[in-house]
Amino acid sequence: METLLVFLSIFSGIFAGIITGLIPGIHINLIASFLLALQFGNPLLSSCFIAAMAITHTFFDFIPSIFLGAPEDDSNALSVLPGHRLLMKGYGYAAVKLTLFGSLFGLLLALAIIPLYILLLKFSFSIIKYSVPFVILSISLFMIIKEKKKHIAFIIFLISGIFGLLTFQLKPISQPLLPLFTSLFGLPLLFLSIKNKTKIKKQKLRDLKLSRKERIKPLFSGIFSSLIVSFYPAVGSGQAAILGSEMFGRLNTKEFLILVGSINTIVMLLSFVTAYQIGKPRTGSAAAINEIVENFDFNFLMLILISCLIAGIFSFFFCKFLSKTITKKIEKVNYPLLCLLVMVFVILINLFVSGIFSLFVLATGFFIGLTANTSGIRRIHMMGSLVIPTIFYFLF
Amino acid sequence: MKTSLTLALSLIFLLLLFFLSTSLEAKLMSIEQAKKKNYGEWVKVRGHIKWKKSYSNFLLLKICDNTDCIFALSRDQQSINIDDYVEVIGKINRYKEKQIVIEEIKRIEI
Repeated sequence: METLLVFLSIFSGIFAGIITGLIPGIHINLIASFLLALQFGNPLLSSCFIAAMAITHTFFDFIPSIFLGAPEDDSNALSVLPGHRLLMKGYGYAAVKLTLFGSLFGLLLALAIIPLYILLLKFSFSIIKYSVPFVILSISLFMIIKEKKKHIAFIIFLISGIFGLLTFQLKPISQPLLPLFTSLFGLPLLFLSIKNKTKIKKQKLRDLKLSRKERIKPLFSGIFSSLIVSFYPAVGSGQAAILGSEMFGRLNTKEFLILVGSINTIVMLLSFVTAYQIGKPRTGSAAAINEIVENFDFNFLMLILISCLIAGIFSFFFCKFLSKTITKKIEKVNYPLLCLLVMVFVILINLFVSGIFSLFVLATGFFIGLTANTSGIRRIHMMGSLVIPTIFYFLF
Repeated sequence: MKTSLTLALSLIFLLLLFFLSTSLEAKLMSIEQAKKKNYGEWVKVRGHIKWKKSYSNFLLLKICDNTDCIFALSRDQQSINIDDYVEVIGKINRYKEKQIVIEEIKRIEI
């Protein structure tokens, strides 16, 4: 009976992960914190639900990020996301498939390296802990130096940092990360799609050819990048992907998509291992499980990992099917209207979850995001909104 | 859209956010509600000090109201005594269990 309930929890988690992945603005942390607030059910079943939901989310959230918010053209090469670049060439489906490939094989690779990861955590965690502010600042400065418009990148990094500090000091809002990220990374892209009246080209259901090297290189780079994201707070998958690309040689658009797909899933999986090993969760989902479960032992970790594997395999096939369906329909959709509806929905979600004062956060982040997008620099400099508050937290 | 215009608007809204973050207060809630908040969120609670211990660089307090109790950590070694009725504003943090990192604490006369 208990096995059946575990499977039921895993598949309910997969269903929830599909919803959170597909709908922008609804994050898994939101569902996990609702579960915590309601003190919902059996800890074992809740944990399987959360783990399955979290992994499923990492597969499905590429669908909205590739199909929504596409630019008018690809003139601002650096600020255009690789997924959008392929969508505008008619390869939206292939772009999703590349991220799915990265997610599934990233998940399998991550499962394989868990013993090594536990050893690494055991021996290096204390060193990592003290190096956090210096490493994350160095990574951010490295990203700025790599830009052509260094002064604009630095300004965006700095004002994003001040924005992050002020948002975390704003007392009456709940879940401050929600309006922070929605406004910096989501709303500006949606707005530009509406303003530029973006039209989506006829999409092809063809795959992009990948050589053996193009499949393997980003996965190994993904492991390296994921370790950085797992160890260092405030380092996002975008920054880690660029670092990984620097370390393993420049990656083309296809390889980059495999890389980001793998990073998101690997980081999520390893966060459960981190919570088990050192009790310091790096993601909201791992934090929720850590809180629900009193005795996070090895058997429990195994159950979480099995839930992740089942969710990963199921998500790979279902997400492929779903993106094929979306691809067939997307060119017929009134794209600016779709973006407008999503924009309104996301603002309403923010109002509902974070409260009325989140509107000020949304407006501020929106203009910072627009500045980054229109100036043609990489959007990762806006991660200053987490980097600078984290440095303050560690140093003061 | 011009970068200089969006940059100027970003700075204006940042200034507004600065005024809001320095002037707005957290909502008063019971300790039971505060314990349901996420890490990093602001809370304001009132309760009696039931236990206290001084460490070299911080003070650890146990605050209780009629709904629950919570540990609170203060960086200032203030003259707070057991059974004092206090109002605490701070952020939810975690050390073994949820606790409040105190930003402001004041004694309230009943």
